[in-house]
Amino acid sequence: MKIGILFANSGPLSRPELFGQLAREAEEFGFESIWTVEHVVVPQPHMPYPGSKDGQMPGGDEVAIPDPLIPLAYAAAITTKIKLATGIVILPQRHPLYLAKQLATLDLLSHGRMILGIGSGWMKEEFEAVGVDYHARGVRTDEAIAALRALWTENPTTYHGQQFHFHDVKSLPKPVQPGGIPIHVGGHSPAAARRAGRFGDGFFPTIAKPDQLKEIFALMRAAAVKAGRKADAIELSAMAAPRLDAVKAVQDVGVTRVMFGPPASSPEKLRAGLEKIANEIIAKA
Amino acid sequence: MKVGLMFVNSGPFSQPELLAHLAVSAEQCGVESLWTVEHVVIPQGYQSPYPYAKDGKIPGGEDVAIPDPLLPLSYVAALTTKVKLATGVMILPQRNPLYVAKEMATLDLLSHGRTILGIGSGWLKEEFDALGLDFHVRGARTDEAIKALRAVWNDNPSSFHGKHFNFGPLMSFPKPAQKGGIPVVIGGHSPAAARRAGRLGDGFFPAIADAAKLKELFGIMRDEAHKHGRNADAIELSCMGRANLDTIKAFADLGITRVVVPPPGFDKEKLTRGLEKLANEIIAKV
Repeated sequence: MKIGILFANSGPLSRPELFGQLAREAEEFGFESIWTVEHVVVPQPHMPYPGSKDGQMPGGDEVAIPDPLIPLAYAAAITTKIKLATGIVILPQRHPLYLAKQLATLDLLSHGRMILGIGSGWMKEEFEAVGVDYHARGVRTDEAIAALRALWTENPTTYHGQQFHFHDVKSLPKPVQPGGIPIHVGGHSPAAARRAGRFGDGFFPTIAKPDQLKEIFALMRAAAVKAGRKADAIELSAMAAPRLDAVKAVQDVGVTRVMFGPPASSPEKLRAGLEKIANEIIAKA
Repeated sequence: MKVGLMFVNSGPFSQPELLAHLAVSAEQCGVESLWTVEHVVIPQGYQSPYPYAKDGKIPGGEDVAIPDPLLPLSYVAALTTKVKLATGVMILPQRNPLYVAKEMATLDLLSHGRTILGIGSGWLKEEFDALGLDFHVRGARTDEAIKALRAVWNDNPSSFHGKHFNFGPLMSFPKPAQKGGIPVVIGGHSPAAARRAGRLGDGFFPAIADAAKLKELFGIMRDEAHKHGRNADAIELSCMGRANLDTIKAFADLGITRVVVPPPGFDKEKLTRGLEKLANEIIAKV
């Protein structure tokens, strides 16, 4: 079982000292990956956050949520093995020409350690602030995935969609990873499951309940089969409580990577928390 | 005189080993700043003339590696402690200022306040076309984006209501480490760039070395600053140049306080020797 740390860039981890420590020590203790989160802005007011009962974002609207990519370049410079991932980038809010170049740059700087986790977004007001049509987010997401893959593997690159069009452009450097950077589809809606089945290299519902996971993985598999793709090749990640039994429970439904939040936000407690996960879970799962 | 290095992300410097070597050695040699360049894509067979070469073509050809301009600076932030990290230039009107504000604030925090945002309004029409943007409104988008960036960096909540960008009230955290936000340096050597620097710039950086032309541009910049009630002397002047003492002294006479030069080599050994020479023969004497 691969073990990753989610929310690696937000709150107190926006500070370089603590973020640098997390990246180095997570690598030292055998964590497989670190994952960054994204909201480019938090408009006032905004729709309720779907991930909590009270609709509040974790940490509140003034929590520091740095850009998800810039910290990964910093981590690339001070680590050599740990995978660097977004979990997730809100794909339809960005233009794929920029994201393709940014991810290729990161893949080169990290010697091929990038994973691109993407979501289609949920906060309508955030789309409005960046001037993107919220109701087109599904089609923009699908087109951006196709455009990214074209940019990573073809030179020159042409893409003609409903949302994005470009003809014979050169985007260099290319990623180090042959075939481009793996794209993991985040989210736990049926739409996310179908998108993962149709287009994903991985599927990453940020939930932890084995029954819910089982159901949504079945939806993903059905969509993959319908699209003529091999469902078993789509890597499954999920959240879990940081306990061996909880990890085994999601492993039983096919998950091969679990993610935990950072175990602490002070330097001493962070190290102790990572070491505890290493001894109690990484060594045994 | 501050001495900076240009083109630190492109061509061979797209490789992390050479970039790291350049950054660490440059800092040791007293180089003040490292500057990255940008083209998100190069449209094949472009016709717009590149303004910095006689043949109108981008150096290195259409297949030259031009990584993103910000991520290499973040990589360098982790390996250095003093050298300033700058874009020279980012094509501002092609990007959404809410993303640029967040990316730059993140980089400023990670580097403990070492960033400079050099911006240009772009010249490659075909690049705007690929992004679905109108090349002809790039000036207005650039002006609005500069104001929007400053609103996001300095206000909480932040709002901006322009013709091209319209948002707020909204929250964007973290803010930059530098108080008052990140310095915005206007690149380019057109009269429009000079006027923009006078109106809105914390600095002006025509990437040319012709003293007569620089003098003329600085005059335009100063007039525009006065017209807008700004103190022209507070606008920092940079230019491109070669590492030559006489040239640098002539630049100093024009009020220039930073000269940015190309990297003195494209492999580790030549870079090491070239940077030592730059430190001893130029940086020690200016």
